[in-house]
Amino acid sequence: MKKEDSMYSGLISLIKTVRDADRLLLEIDALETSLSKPEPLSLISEANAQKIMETFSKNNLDINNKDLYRSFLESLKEIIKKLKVVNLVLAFDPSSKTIDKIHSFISNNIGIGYILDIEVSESILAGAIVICNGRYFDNSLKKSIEDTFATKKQEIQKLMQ
Amino acid sequence: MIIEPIIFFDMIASILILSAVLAGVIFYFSRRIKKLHNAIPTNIMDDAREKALRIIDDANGKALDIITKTNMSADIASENLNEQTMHAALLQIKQLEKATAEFSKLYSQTLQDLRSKNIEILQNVSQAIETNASEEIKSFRKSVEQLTVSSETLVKKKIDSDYEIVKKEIGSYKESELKKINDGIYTLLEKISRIVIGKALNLSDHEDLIMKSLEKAKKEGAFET
Repeated sequence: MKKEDSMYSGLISLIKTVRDADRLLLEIDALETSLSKPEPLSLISEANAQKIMETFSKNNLDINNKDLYRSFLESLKEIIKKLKVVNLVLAFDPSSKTIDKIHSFISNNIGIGYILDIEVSESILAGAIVICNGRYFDNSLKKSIEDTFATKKQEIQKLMQ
Repeated sequence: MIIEPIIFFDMIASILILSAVLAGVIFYFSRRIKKLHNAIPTNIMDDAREKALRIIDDANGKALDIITKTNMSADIASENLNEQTMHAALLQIKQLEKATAEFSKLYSQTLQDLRSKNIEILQNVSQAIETNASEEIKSFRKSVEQLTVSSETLVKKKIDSDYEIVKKEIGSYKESELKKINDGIYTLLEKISRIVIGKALNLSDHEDLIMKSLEKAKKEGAFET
C-alpha cells in the first residue's frame, strides 16, 4: 500500500474478507449516488460510516465538499479493488472473532492489503487449505489422515486385522 | 490150371452156339419127320418114328453129355476163373497193398517234408513277424516317446503361459481388490474420523487447528511474496 493510501488504512483495516469488500463497494456506490441527498452516510453501515467520518476528520477533509467526497470514495474503491486475496478453505463457517484472528495472522505475516476469501467445506474435517499467490497448501486434517494412511498403510492394516 | 478169362468166355460162347445149332438141327429133323410121316405109310411111319425117337434120344443123350461136359468144363473153368480171380485179386491186393504202402510211405514222406518245410516256413515267417513286430514296436515306441516329449513340451508351454496369464490376472485382481479394500478402509476411517472429530472438536479446537495450518503454510513459504 502506498503512503498516500495510508489515510485509508482505518477503513481498509475493517475489510477482512471478500464479503466485507463487496459490501463496502456496494455501500460506496450507494454513497456516491446519494451524495446530493442529506446525510448520505445513514445509508451505509454504522461501522463504515463512523470510519469514513473518522478518516475525514483525522485528515482534515471537508465532508461537505462533494467533489472531494466523491474523489475519496473513488480512491477507496480503487484501493479495495487492488486488495490481494488469500483463499482459505475451512471445515466450518468461522465467527467474526475467528476471522479477525486469521486476518490478524495474515496481516502480521504478509502485511496489510490482504483480504480473505473463505470457503466452507466440511469434508476437510478441520484445519485449513491455504491458496496464496497462486500456491496451494493443503494443511487440512483430511489430508493429514490421508497422508497417514498412505505412509502407515501396513500398520493400519495390521490394526484392522 | 489157370484159364485166361477170355478163353473162358470163348468156351461159353462156343457151347451156346453149339446148343443153338443142335436145337436148329432138332427142329429141322422134327419138321422133316412130320412131313415124312404124312407121306409114308403107318408102318414105315412107326419105324421111322422109332428111329426118330432113337435118334432124338441119342441126340438128347449126346446133347446132355455135351451139356454135362460143358457144364463140367464150365464148372472147372468157373473154378479156375475163381481161382484166377482170387489169385489176381490177391495179386492185385498185394500190389495194391504194396502200392498203398509205397504211396503211404511216399505220402508220409511228402507230408513229413511238407511239415518240415511248413515248420521251417512258419519259423521263418514267425521270425520275420517277430522281427517286423519288434521293429514296429521300436518304431511305435520311438514315435510315442517323441509324441510324448512333444506333447509334454507343448503342455508345459501351455501351462507356463496359462500360469503367467492367471498369475497376472490374480495379481491384477489382488491389487484391484486391495485397492478397493484400502479405499473402503480409508472411506470408512474418514467417515469414522469425521464423525469422531466432528463431535470431538469444539470451536476452540477448530481455531487452533486453523492457526496451526496457517503456521505450517507460513513455514512452507505460502506467504512469501
